[in-house]
Amino acid sequence: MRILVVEDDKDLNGQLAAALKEAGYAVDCAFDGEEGHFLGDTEPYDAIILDIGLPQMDGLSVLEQWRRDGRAAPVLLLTARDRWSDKVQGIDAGADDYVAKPFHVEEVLARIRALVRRAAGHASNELVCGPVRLDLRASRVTVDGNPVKLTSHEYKVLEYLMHHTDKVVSRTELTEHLYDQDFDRDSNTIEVFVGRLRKKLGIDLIETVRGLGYRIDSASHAA
Amino acid sequence: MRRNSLSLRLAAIAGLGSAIALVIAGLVFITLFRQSVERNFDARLNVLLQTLVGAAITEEGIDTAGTALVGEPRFSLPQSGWYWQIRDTASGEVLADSDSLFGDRLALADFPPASGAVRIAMLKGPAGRGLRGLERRISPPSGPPLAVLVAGDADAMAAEIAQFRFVVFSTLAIFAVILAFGMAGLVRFGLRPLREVRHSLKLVELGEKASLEGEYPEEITPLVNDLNTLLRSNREIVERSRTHVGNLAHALKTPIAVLINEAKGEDRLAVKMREQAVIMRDQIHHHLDRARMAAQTNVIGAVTPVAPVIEGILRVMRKVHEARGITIADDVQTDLRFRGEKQDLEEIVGNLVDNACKWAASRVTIKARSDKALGESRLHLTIEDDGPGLPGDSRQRALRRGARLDESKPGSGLGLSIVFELVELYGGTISLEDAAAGGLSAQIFLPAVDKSDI
Repeated sequence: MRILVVEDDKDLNGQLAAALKEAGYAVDCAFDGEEGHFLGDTEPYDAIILDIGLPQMDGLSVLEQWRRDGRAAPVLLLTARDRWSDKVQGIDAGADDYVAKPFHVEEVLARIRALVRRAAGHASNELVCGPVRLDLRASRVTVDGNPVKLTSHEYKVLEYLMHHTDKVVSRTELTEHLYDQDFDRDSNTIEVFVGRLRKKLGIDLIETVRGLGYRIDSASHAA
Repeated sequence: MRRNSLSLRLAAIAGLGSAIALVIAGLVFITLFRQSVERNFDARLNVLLQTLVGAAITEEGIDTAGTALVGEPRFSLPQSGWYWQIRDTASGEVLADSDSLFGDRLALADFPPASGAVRIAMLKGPAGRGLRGLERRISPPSGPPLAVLVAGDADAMAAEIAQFRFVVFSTLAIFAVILAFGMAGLVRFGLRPLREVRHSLKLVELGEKASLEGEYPEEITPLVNDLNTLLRSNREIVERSRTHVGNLAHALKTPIAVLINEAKGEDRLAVKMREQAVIMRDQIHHHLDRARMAAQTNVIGAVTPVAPVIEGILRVMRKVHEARGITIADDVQTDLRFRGEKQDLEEIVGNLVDNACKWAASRVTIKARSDKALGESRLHLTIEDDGPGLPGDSRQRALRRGARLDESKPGSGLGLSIVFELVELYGGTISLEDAAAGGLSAQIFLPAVDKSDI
């Protein structure tokens, strides 16, 4: 899962990015409206944290432009002016949720988790596919109730695929969503992760669609 | 009309003034008329007196035969009201009189002056009629000086004057009525600009207009301009302080967020810092809200349409609580208008609906109705949820500042107390009751503006 943080306060941006990385997300940071807009416009993010008061271009304009251009990534607004009219404006501009400053980073993490889940069409904090259960809050995976130890990259691949069951996910898409901008991307590593995942889970959950990518078929794994 | 009213003052001054003028005019007319009538009467009597003297007094004494030629037939008709009489000034004996006297006497106590000047005598004639006479002392060549009196009917003259008085006073009374109407029209017309100012001000109070509009006479133009300046500066002050407050909020909140999140771990410094940062956050929140509220009390002409505010907040709530599957039903009368600031209504509705959504199991209902009580238009808001509800003692606590009943639901806990204070500030009421669906039902009454108030 890849998240964009657009916040002009360097400290706060750093705190958010650190917490998100710790929670297993790939994070890109932008410090003004224009940079934020450019990144959101060109990179495929799974969720965006957007401050309203930004230099160069304010958050609401950035958001409106994304929505006009058809960018549909869920957006969590950060607002210091917690007046209701600001919230209404934010939602009307296309935001999916808002958090009033000052906030605890945990609160933002919870909202982001909910947004990503909602965007994928899931309602609970747990993704289930056959015997495999993935707890989004604890970042834990079990097969038939037995915990499976995964590295953070393996977890990220599994989480992304389970968020997008019944869809073919290409290697490029996986790379784009698993790594932040500065990461040296090599799609071969994805193959390695998938291979290790198959071994660790011990069941044939992830199928390879030749020439296209990977898929988890929820129907064939229904319990 | 109230006692202290310009219209009443003008009407009183004009009414009293014209009443006095009309009465004086009437009296002057009547006096002039009476004088003129009397002068004519006296002139006629004088002619008769001269003629009588010429005809009746000869060298040999009094010649009654000649008196028939005086030229006034009424002297011959009995009790006609026109008489003459000649007395001897020495004995007072009547030497001759007109036939009309028919043997009666015209009683006079004294005699005209010796100088021979004519004197006017008011006397009673036969049958008690009032007479007006002229009498003069004549000294014939032989015999004693004579007093010659000619008298005519004064009652007829009085009746003529009375009739004139009646005509004058009725004419003047009609005048007075016309004048009164004219003055009423004048007062209405003259004071119309003031009424227009009042109407304009009412429109401003109701938020229909931002300033007093229209052309006014030069006497009240300065007043209107001053009022407009006052209205404008009032609004500007509110706007400015609101911007300041917003800027301050923005400037402080980001650093506090950084502090709160930087203070990780359990060492003494981190715990202390976290604790103090949270206190700072709550204090800032509290005082910024109060500053905002203080800035916007007593703003004339603040009126907010209710439906768009509720719709906006519901858009936010539906989006934010979408994932939890909560249905938000609204039943809002379209033409409702709140007598107050938009931001305050947003704060009240927003916090209550947000709370209801946080606690609801599946359904939140918001209802807005107009309500009339004691002739005042009120806005009646009902916000209900089907959550766990709130026991009686917690309800009072919920409305106190900073009280948070459950730390597990996000929010600073200041929501309900600011609602309570805002409602109080607007002179409204709020009560928390059990909802039919089992949860909490908040009932709020706020001042409203009715179209009919204009």
